[in-house]
Amino acid sequence: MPKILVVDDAAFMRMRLNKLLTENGYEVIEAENGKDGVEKYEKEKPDLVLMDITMPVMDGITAVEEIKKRDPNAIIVMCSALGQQNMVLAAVKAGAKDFIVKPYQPDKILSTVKRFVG
Amino acid sequence: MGLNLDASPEELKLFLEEVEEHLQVIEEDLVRLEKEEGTEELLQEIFRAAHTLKGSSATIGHKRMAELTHAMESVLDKLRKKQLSVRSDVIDLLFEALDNLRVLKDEIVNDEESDIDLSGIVSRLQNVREEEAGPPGVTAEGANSDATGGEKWIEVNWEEIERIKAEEQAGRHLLQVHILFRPEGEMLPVRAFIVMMSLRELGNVIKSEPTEEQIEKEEMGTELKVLLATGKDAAAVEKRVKELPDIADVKVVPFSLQSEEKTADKEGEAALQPAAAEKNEEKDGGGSGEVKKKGGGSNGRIRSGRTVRVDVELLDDLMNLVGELVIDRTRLFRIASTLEATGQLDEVAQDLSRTSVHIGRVTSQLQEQIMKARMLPVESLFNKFPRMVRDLAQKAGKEVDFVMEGQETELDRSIIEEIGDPLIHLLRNAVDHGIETPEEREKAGKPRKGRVLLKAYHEENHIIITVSDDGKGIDVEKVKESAVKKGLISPEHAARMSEKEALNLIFASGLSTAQKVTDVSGRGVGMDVVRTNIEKINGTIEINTVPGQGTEFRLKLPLTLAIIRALLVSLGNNVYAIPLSSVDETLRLNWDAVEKVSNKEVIVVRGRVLPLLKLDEVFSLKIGAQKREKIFVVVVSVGGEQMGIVVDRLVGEQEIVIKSLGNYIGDVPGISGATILGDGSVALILDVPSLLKKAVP
Repeated sequence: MPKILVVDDAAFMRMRLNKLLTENGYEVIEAENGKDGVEKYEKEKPDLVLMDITMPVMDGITAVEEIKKRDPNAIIVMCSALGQQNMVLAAVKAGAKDFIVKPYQPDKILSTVKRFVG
Repeated sequence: MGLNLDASPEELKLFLEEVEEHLQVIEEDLVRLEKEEGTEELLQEIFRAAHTLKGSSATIGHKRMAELTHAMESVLDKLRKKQLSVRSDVIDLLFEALDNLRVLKDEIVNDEESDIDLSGIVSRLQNVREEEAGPPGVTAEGANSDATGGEKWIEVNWEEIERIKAEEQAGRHLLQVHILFRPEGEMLPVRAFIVMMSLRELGNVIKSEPTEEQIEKEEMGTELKVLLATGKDAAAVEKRVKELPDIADVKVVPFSLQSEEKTADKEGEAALQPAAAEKNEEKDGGGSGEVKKKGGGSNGRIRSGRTVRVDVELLDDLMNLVGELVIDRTRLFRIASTLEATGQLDEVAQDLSRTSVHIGRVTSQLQEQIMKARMLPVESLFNKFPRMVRDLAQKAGKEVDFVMEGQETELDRSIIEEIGDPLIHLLRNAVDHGIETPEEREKAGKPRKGRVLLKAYHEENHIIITVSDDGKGIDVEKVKESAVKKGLISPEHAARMSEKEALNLIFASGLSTAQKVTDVSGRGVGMDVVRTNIEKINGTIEINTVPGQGTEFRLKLPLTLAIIRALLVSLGNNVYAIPLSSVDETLRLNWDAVEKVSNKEVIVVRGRVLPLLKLDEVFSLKIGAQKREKIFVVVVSVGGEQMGIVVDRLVGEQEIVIKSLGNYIGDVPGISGATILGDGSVALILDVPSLLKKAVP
């Protein structure tokens, strides 16, 4: 069962994603900010990370950089709100593989996840 | 009543800027859509502009704008999906919606709700239907042609050719990858970036259009072309790209160097041309009234280079400061030359001399660069004309092919502001009076469709803008007749007039030769305003006309308003500057060459009688009447009229920085401004057009 790390500071968003992914046969780990995300990544070695951009303590772009330093092969997909194009681009340059734009559409999330981890 | 919009003043400012940009795009593209064959690309662009407008107006809470753009968007969507063909009534409707959008935009500017009623236009937009058995849509083609059209989508320069050869030696082959994104896809630039990264995993990217930098700056449409050197085959590359989201279409075609080398050598410059854009540009004469543009299908939106936005005021201030520097430079030169003249050629003096030469050079360069920074391509002005000409032609029942050339020509922005109205007038005249009706043209053995050409180009230190038409030309006799009838000149005067003088009558106020007055032109105001405006900025206007073949108006404009070359003259203790653009020649005459005609002093120069103007009389100066035997006369002319100005001495020719007299003194008849000379004294700049009016009433 592929393991997915959901990094988002909004508990509501984490819950939604967790529910959707679990229902579709994925194992989900949650982290509530970038720093937490980096730590959980090291500990759990997930197959894919869904990373929010705007978060307290450590933002998503820095978290991508940190994770990539530890694991160059990490697969990270950014979760962004509309209008965060520059930040998404920065994250992609930092090594994120793809992005999803909020409001999330379940099928889009699933197809993206499926593309990377099957 | 305020609008209560949900946006801060800064946001509103940005919003308005963007609205204007989008409106401009929609307008230009609609004109192109109507005149050319509507390509998919063009429709996408209009759709995007309307879509963005809808989004942002809804965000700030401007319901009416959102509602109208939504209605437009649905029509555009139908056009885009070919559920509707590009018909003239649909275009008209969209134009009407666009005009309404402008009113709504003004609402925001004025923070006051206007009383326009949108329900009519909105419901008409909603109810646009495809006619049964309508003509085959113009949009029916072009959909796939850009991808399947040719096998050569990418041109390379010699540098890239070297890289390609190296790649081929390393055993990789070259593939052209052409990707179309779904226009509704989110964050397309990021998507494009990801595509580029995926391709990099397959091989080396030789070049891409748009380039990576352009993608980062979001300067891209829905298209991406990549030249890839790879060991993988075309099918594998295609599969890889197709896996990515928001991809509408992918084509991968091998690239061969042989066919490229020639074109690359010829062009010497990397140019990647989307096949669709090429098609647009190369098509010539076929469509009605197409607007030829440089910059290609994507509307020149892909700009390269790094730019910053600067407030115009800052540039004006800089220009002013440079003006001061130019004055000081002149003073430094003077000091240095005085020192040299006194023979004190010690080292300090030489040092000063050298330094002043260097400062002079740097100042000139600085001046030039700042002038360049103030330059804008006339395109910003020209852009609104195609729509205007189209509307005018439609209203007047004429068929007009409107062609613009040289939009990239650059002019000082203050000049661009000044010439807008005159150009509008000239274009109106060309369509209204110049071009004949299609029937008249056919009878005269000309093509039904008239041609109006607006052209801008450099000539020495000036910019020339011409407005020409291939219409019926100006009937000089009719002009004279009309002028006599209106009491502007006497019949005798008319009989003596040369053709050129008679033509210049059209610049007299109160004259119109149009048979009937329309709501756009023919009211006899206008041409005089045109000339006044052009002369105000030290420009000149000339007319050339051939009966039955057309008319050309030629505007000669200075590059900048701030600095001019002038002839300095002195009278008593005062120094005056005469703009060199209006000086024809200088003469040295005996007093007895001055004759009197009906109590006015005149001189005869090569058979021409020129009125004489004495500045001391005009400005009521009390100068000890030291009558000399010889006098200097500066012959000036504006719009073909000449006169002589009597001066004591010619001082020299110099670049001067124009300063206004300021509010305290205000407007002085005959004086257009002042300048500071090298020795610190002030010279008044003569306003030649107004002086000429005084001398030649």
